[in-house]
Amino acid sequence: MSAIELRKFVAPEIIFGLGAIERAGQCASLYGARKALVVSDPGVIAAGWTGLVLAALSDAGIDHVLFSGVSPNPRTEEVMSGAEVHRSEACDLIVAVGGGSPLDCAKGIGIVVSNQGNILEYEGIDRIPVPMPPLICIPTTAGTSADVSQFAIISNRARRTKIAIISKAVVPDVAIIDPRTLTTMDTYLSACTGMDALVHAIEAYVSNAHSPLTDNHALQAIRLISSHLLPSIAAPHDLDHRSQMMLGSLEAGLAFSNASLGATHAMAHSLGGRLDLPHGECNAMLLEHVISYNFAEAGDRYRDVGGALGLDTGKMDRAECRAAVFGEVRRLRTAAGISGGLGDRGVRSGDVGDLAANALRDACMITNPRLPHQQRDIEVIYEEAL
Amino acid sequence: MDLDWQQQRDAVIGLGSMSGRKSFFPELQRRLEELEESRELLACVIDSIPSPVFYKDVDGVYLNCNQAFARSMGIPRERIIGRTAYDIAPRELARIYHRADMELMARGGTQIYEATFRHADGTLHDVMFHKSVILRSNGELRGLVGVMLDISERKRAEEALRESEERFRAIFDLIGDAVFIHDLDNGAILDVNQTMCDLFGYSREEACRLDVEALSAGEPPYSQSEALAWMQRAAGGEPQAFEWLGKRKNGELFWLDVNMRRATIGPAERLIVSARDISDRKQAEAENRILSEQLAQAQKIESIGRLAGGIAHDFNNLLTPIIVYVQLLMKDFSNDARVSGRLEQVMLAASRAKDLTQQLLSFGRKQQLTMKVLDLNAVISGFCDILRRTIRESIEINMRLGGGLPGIRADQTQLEQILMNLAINAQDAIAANGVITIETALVTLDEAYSRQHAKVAPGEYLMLSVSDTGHGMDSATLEQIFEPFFTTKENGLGTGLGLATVYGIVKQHDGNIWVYSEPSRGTVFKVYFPCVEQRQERREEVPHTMEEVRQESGVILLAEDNEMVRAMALELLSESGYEVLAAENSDAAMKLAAEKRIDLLLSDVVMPKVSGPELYGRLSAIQPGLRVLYMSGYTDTVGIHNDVFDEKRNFIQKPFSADALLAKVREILAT
Repeated sequence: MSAIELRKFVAPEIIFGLGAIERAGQCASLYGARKALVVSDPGVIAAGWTGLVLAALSDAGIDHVLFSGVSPNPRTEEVMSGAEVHRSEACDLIVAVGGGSPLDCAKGIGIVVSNQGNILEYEGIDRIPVPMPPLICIPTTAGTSADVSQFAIISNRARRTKIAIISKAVVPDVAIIDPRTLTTMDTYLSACTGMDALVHAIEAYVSNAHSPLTDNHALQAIRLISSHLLPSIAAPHDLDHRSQMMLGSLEAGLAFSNASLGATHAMAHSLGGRLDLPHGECNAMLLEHVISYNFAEAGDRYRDVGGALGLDTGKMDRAECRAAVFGEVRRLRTAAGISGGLGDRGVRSGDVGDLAANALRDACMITNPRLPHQQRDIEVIYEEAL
Repeated sequence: MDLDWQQQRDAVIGLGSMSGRKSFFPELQRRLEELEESRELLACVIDSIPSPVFYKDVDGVYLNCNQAFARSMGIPRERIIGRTAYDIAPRELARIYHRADMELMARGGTQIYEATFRHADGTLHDVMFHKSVILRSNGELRGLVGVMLDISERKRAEEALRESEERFRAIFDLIGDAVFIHDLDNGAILDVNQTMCDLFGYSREEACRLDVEALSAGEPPYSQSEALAWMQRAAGGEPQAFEWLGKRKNGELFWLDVNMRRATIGPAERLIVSARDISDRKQAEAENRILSEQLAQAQKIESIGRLAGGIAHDFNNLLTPIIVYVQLLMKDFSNDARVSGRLEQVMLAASRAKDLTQQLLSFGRKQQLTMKVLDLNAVISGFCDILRRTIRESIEINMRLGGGLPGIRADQTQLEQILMNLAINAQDAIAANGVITIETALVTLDEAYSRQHAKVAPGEYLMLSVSDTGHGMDSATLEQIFEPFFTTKENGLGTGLGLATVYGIVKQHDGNIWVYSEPSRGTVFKVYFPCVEQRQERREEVPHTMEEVRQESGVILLAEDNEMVRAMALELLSESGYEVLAAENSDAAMKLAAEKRIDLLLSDVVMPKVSGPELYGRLSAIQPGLRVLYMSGYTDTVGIHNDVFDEKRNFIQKPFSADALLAKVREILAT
């Protein structure tokens, strides 16, 4: 084994398991907070999970105010509104309940509360001087893993891009992960979020910043997700499958938070910014094509990915391995319910140029195993995915 | 892989320089220390403030106070915090503080007021509270903060200053002289005292708006320009003192003694003027001048009178033999008409001469008066006919005699003399037609009159006034009219003795005479007699011609140093049948008395060496029961004022008629 490159591993305090939500109040009170800003969205509230969190907070004697003005791709305006509520309500703690949107919006709110200014000023890597108020993230999907990652993605509607904010300061203080919350996800949401988690895991494994610290988490995530995604969709209320999916999402999150991602996410961010398409769906449609593009540079890594997917890639040659992994990913996502291509989602070939340009600028592109030499490289992938 | 990419990758995976989430502990710790330091400094500052400081919340509950406050109250700080004013101050004071607090917090801003504070030792102090509301940055009311200042000292000082101020103000105001404070540069009046206001009749506000001209007579040398000149001299540094004729608000002029000096009052240079009302002094001076003049006048008249009196006395001695001998001759030649006629002429001349000497004696006051209590109105009425006949027809005589008047002690003849002389003078003053008015009245002469008229005592007097509508007299004439031999008539027409005589008579009667006159305005003579309350006596008529000679008997010792008088008396008495022993002096008289029994001593009063009364005294010793008859040309000697001789009984005035002498002798021998 070669010498291990200098690496860092960041993770929040994690409370994982059934009944974790009820711990929310106790967690908050440990921070000496008097009033919590609870960030959520209408869907989660309707599902009832936000209510449980509010009750838990009240039980702990913590006052709260609910902010639910969050869109599927959280916007800068929503972040700023949320920050204003935090200030005017004199909150001193943030609790985010929901999928990626409330979680990323809450992160954005926290940044602005502590650092003032506009959230767009903090785009990039390590650009947050002052830590945010205590942040408790309670995911209800498996998932974006925003509950454990150092990433926050905010949509700039004005420029029709998504900005990535990457910093240890973005990592929440506590992640309360309760698999019960997955039981209210519908089929489509389960498929999208599940595929997003798989992409996290695969991209983290093949990232040029992978390391022993992250590889095991990545592979384990791939195994768990590939095994339990389809069954969990078929039996939504089966807590076993849901728990395994939640665990898989967690592992994926730990992996990519520290190894970063690749071209799939870069391109998916570009699509989401420009056309406001769901993040998970975009990833699912792009993954296989990016694998094809990257295989030349990370063939061996993909062979391990194939093994984790349940393929017998040990005996295949490169071409066979590539085709097998490509096919398995395609099969999985199609079976989950995400079929067709970008063209079916309204992407035109005329958009590809801008999309590619934006994708090249995305921070996630930096750790793609195969660095694109020119914009055309990415355009080709988009075209293939149409 | 290029360097830039390497850096980006490192950053993404968290190996950048800024990747970390900080622990706040050191910073928080530092912040807390700073806050603590700041808090402690604030507490120290508040505690070190020497004046009591306190602050309360919106309900008036003490949040904190400093040591000075706790000390003043005598209560530990811990027992003040959390309490209200009602817990730590007397009820009444607490109520006042609380009301002030509420008003301050309702109104906002600051509040300053004076109140009483009960100190720890129980004493009450005068204090001043400076309070202010405390606001948060958003304007929300948070409470109030206050500082308490002990102003007992200041109040005491203020009180003392006010008392001092009042004292000096009182002195300034009540000084007996008027005091002015003037601006040094322009002379304007800045302040005056109360005496000035009383003296000039202005209020203080009015006075300070006046210029010096308004307070002065106005005419040079008492006008604005002279006043300014005085002020300039005083401003130069030299105090000025001078008299000034001032003017009151009502226009009345009055004299002032002014004292003016430059002085520094506080920060400014001023002119201080004090003015004394010298009206009284001036009046006294004026009265003195008048009195001095009157006195000089009186003295002049008196000396002339004495001279005249002396002459008259000798004349009387010369006239007495003339009259007596002529009477005797007339008796001798009563048959011879021609001789009798010529003798009558002689007698006439002698009578006139006698009148003349009487007049001389009048104003020299050397005549014997027969003083009785008389009714003046009756005398005047009785004399009215004679007056009317004497004064020319074209002049009306008006009588205005007052009723119910008291009597006066006077000689009737002399009163008539006064009336006659004054009437004649009045007549002479009237050119053609006119009126002479004679009035009598009871008047009271007061202090003021007394001050301005020499030798007049205040009291009740009977006034006789004679006024005419004639040509009047100027002041030069008035000064001299009572002088003997002074006349305005041409040479020979007047003796100049008329008014001098009147003057003398009035003085002998203890009265006063004053004249008021102006050219072309007529003249008034006013004579004032002291009143008496006594039974008035009627006049006696004295016959002019001689009575029949009768034969008498008795021994008369005649003592007279004047040869002619002695010879005359000797002859007269002898002819009448008396035995007369004549002596020219007392010694001779004594010798004669030693040899013979005397019935009557007929003696001159004034003789060399031994006077008549003295002689009588000695003779009485050797001849007890001796009677005496005095004769004299003098009236104002010792005799009339004592009991030695009484005008009614043993005195006869020279010149006397033969009848008079014989009658008198007979009368006395008869007693």
